[in-house]
Amino acid sequence: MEKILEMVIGTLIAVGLSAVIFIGANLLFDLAPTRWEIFGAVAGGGLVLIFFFWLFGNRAITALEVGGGRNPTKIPWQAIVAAIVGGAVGFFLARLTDRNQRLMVGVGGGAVLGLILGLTLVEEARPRLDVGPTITGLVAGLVIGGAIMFLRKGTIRSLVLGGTLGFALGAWGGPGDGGTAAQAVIVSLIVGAGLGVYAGMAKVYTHKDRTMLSERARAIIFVAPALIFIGITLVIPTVRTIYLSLFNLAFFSQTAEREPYSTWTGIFGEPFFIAAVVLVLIGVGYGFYQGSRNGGGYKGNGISLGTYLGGATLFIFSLFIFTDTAEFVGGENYGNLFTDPNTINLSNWTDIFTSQLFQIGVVIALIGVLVGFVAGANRGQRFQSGGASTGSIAVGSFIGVFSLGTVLRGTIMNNLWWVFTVTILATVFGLAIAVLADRSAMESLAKSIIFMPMAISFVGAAIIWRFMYIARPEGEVQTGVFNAIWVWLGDVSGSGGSSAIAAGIMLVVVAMLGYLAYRGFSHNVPGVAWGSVITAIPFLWLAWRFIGPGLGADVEADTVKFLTESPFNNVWMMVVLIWIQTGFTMVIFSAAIKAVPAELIEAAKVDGATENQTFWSVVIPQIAPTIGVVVTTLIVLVMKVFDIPKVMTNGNFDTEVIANEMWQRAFTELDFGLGSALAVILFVSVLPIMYINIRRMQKAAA
Amino acid sequence: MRKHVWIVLVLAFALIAAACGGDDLEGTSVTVFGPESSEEEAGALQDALDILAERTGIDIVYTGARDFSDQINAQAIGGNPPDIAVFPQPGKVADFARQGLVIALPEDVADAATDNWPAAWNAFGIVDGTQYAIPTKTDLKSLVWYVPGSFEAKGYEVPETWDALKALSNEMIANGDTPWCVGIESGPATGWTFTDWVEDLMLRFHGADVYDQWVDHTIPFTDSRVEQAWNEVLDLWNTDGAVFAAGGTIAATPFGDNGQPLVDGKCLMHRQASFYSAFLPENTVTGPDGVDVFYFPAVDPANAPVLGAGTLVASFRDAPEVWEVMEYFSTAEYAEERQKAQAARKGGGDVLSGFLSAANGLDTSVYTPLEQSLVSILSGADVVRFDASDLMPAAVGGGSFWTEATSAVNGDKSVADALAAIDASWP
Repeated sequence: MEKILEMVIGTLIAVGLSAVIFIGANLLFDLAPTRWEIFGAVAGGGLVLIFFFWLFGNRAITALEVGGGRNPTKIPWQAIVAAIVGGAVGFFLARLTDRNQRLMVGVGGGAVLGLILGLTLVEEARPRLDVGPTITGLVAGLVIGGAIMFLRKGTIRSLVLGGTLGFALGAWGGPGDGGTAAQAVIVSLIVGAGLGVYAGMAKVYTHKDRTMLSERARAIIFVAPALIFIGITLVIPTVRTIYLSLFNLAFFSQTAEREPYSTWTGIFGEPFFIAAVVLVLIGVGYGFYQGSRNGGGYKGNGISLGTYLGGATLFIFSLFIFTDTAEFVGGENYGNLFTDPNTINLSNWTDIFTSQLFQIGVVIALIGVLVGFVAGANRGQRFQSGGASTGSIAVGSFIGVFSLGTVLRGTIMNNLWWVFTVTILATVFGLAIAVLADRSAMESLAKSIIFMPMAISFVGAAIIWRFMYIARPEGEVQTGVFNAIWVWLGDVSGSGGSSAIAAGIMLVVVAMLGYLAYRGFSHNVPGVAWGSVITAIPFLWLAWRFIGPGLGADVEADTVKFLTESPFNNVWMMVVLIWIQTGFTMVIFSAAIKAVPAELIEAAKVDGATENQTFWSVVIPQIAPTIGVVVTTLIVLVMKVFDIPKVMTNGNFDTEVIANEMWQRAFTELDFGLGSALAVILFVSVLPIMYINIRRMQKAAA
Repeated sequence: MRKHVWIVLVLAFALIAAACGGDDLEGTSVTVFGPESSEEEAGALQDALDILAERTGIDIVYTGARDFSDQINAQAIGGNPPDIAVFPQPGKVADFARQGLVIALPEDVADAATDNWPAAWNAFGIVDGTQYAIPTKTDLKSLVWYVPGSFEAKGYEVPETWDALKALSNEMIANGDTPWCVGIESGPATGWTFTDWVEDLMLRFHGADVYDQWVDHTIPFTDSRVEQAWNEVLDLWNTDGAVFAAGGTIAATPFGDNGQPLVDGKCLMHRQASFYSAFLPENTVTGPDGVDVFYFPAVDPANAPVLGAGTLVASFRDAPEVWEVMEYFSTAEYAEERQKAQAARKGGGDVLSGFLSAANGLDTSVYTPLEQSLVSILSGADVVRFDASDLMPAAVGGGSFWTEATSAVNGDKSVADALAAIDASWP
C-alpha cells in the first residue's frame, strides 16, 4: 500500500513538475516582447541553475554538507550563487546595447561563473590542461566553427563557440584522471569567458526580433519534449551502443591495468584521422567544383556538408583511439564474432550431402521438376508450372534449406535458421488455416482456439513447453506429454495383440486418407489430395513400425531428449514460437481474405476458374501486401528471439541465439564491447527489413 | 543585501531538513537483494531481518531472485542497485569494489565484522586490503548425502578415500544399484554442480597451492592437472549405470531435483553442499535414521581439505540505516534468528535447515547435532578454500567455466576443447 502511495505521489509530482515547467516556459516567453530584461534575467539564471543542478545530480561538484552523521543534507550552494550571477548577466545583456559594454558583461560574468565551477568541481570531474588534447580540441573546434561560419555566412561568433567547446572537450575528454585544482580553475575560467564572449556578441534584439523569438519558441516548447524523449530513448542508446562496441573488455572492467596512451602526435598516424582529413578535403574540393560550375568561388551544399560531418565524426573517433589506445579496438569485436566458431561454424558443411533430410528435400524438388516437364509435354510446352510441380519444388527447397541448419552451427547460423523456419512455417500455417477455416461451419471457434496461444507470454509458453518436453530416465513415469505418448506407443507395440490392433487402426486411417487423396485428384482439388498424402505418411510409418521392427523396447529405452540433443533441440524450441505466431498470422490473413472483393471472385468463377485457380490467381495477389507485412514483422520478431531459448536451454546445447548471447556477454560476463557488437549486428540486420516496411507504407499512403 | 537573504533562507531550510533526518532511523528503509529465493530461505532471511526492523524502525525488505548474478550486474551498472546485495561470489564483490560500485565498510562496521567472524572467512570480503563485504552464511561443499539405512541394508561402507569411493561406486553398479544422483541444470548458472566436483578434486589431488594458482590463472586452464580432475569426474559419471538423472540427462536435470530420488532410493549417493538440505523433500528426517552426510573423501585421509562457499553482504548506499543492517548481518544474533526461522519453516525437529554460519559466539544449540558437527568442521578446518568459480573473474567463473562444463558433460565437446575455450575466455 505504501509503495502504491509512493508511486502515485511520485507520478503526481512528475506530472505537476512537467506542467509547471511547461506553463513556466510559456509564461517566460510571454515576457520576451514586453519585459526583455526580466526575460533575460530569468532565462540566464534558469539555464545556469539547470546546468549546475545537472552537475550536482551527477556528483560532479562538491556540496555544502549540513548536519552531521553519515547522511548529511547536501546543498549545492554554488548553484544558487551561480544562478544569481547568470541572472544578472542575462539582465544586463538584455538591457545594454553598446557592443563593448555587452562584451565586458559577457566576459566578466562568464569568467565568474567559470571560477565558481572550477573551484567546486570534485577531483574526478576536473579537467586537465594537457597540451595535446586541448590544442587538438581547440583546433578541431575552430575548424568546425570556421566551416560553419564560412558556409552559413555566420559571424566570428561561431568561431569563438567552436574553439571554446573544442577546448573544453579536449580538456575534459582527454585521457587521465582529474587534474589539479589550479588546472580546473584555469580551464573553467577560459571556457566560461569564451562562452561569455559568445553570449556578449549576440545581436541586439529589436522589438520585432523579440516577438519573433517568442513565437518561434512556442513551437519548440511543444515539439521539444517529444524530440528529447525520442533522443533519450532511441538515438542516444543506439549511438552509445555502437560506440561501446568498439572497446575491449579492459575498458569496462577497471580491474585490468590500463595502458598509457601514445603521445599526442600519434594522432597523425591514426587511420581514422587520415580518413577524416581526406573526407573534409573531398568536401572542400566538391564545394569548389560546384562553385566553378556556378560562376566561381566556393559553393557549399548537402554533399559537402555531409562530408564535413562525417569528417568531424571520424575525427572524434580518432581522438578516442589515440587517447585510449589499449581499450579501443575498433572493429575487432566484430572481427572476433565473425571468426569465432561459437558464432559461425561452417566446418561441417560437407555433412549436408549425407544428411537424409537434405536428400529427401532434393528428391521432392526433383520430382516437382519432373512433374512439371511431364505436364508440359502433355500440353506441348517445355515446362508446366503450377499445382503439383510448384508445390513440390517449394516444399523440396524448403526442406533442403532447412536441413542446412542442422549442419551449420554457431549463434548467428542458429538465428538465421530460426528466422527461416519460423517465418515460413508460421506464415504458411496461418494462411492455410485462414483459408480452410474461411466459410467453414466452426470458423470462429476454430480460430479462437488457434488464436489463444497469442495470449500467452513467450516466457509462459516456454515454461509450458519445457514441461511437455521433459524426458525422465528409463523405467520412470514420463511426466512430459510427448515422451509419455512415445513410451506408451512403445509399450503397445511391444505386446503382440495390441501391436496388431494398433497397426490395423493405422492402416484403416491410411486407407481413409488414400480414398480422400483419390477423391482429391479425380475432382481436381490437389490441395486436399496432397494434404491427405502427406498426412498419411506418418501413419504409414507407424503402422510399419508396429508390424515390422516394432517400437517396442528400443523406444522405452530411448526417450526423446527434446532439449538437450543437438541440433533438433533448436527445432523443438522453434515449434513453440510457431505455435504462438500462427494465431497471429491466421487472424491477419483471415481479415485480408474476407476483404477480397466478392465481385472479383465471382468474375473469376464466371470465367470458369476452378476454386484452386481462383485462390492462386485472385486471392493471393489481392492479399500480397498483407503477406509482405506479416513476413517482415515475423522476420524482425524472430531475429530478436530471446525469451524462449533463455527459458528453455539458456543457450546451452548448441541453441545459442544472438539476443541471448548478447545478454550473456554484456550482463553475465560484463563484456559490454562484445555484447554491444552483437546488439549492433542485430540492429543492422533488422534495418533493411524496416526500410522495406517503411517504403511500402509510404507507397501505400501515396 | 537581497542575495544575503536568499542564502540565509536556503541555509535555514537545509537546517530544518537536516533536523528532520537526524540520526533517528525510524521510518527509513533498506532494500536487500540476494540469490536465495526459495520460500524457506528467503522467508527465514526476512524473518531474521524483521527482528532488527522491529527494534530500530527501519523498513527492511528482502527480495530474492534465482538469476541474481545477471540481475545484480544489470542493476549495479544501470545505476539502480539495491541498498545491500547478498553476494554468493567473492569474485563479484572484488570486481564491483574495484569499479567503485560497492562501498568500503566504515571503520566501526569493519571492526564489528572482525569481532564477529573468524579471519579466514572475513578474508573473502577484503579487496586490496580494504574490507568491502561481511560473510553472513557459510556452506560446506565437500559432502556426500546418503541414506545410512540403505547402506546398511545392502552392506555398503562409507568410503574413507577417493579410490574407495570409486570402488564403492563400481560395486554398486555391479550389484544393480545406481550409485549417484547428478543434475547440473540451474537456469543461467547451469554447470556449477560440475565445477564443484572439479574444485573438490583439484583440492584433493593437487593441494591448496595449486588450487590458488589455478584460481588466479598462474597456471592455465589447459594445465594437465586441471584436465585430470575433469576426466576423473567425467569418467565416474559416464560409467554405464553410474548416474540417475531425473531429467533424462545430467545436463537437463535441475540440481534441486536430486533430493526426491535419493530419498526414494533411485540412487544411493549425492555429492552436494550443506545447503542441499533445503532441497530435500519436506519433513525428511536427517541423521542416522534418515538422510545423512559423509565427508567427500580425500585422496589421502591424512590431508583432508574443506571446500567452502557462502554469501557475503556488501552495500551500495552510504547511509546510517544501511550500515545498521550490515552490522546486524555480521552478528551471531542474525545467524541464530535465521537458523531458528529456517528450521521452523522446514518443519522443525531433526530436519536440517540448510543454513550454516561460522560466526563467532554462535549459540550452537540452535542447530541439530549433525549441523553442529558441520559447523565445527567449518570453523576448525586447517585448509579451507572458497569455491573456485566464485573467485574467478565473472567471464569465467560465471560464464565460460559453466557453459563449457555443460558442453563437456553433455558430450558436445571434448574436455580438451572445453578447457581451451575457457582458457581463451580468461580476461
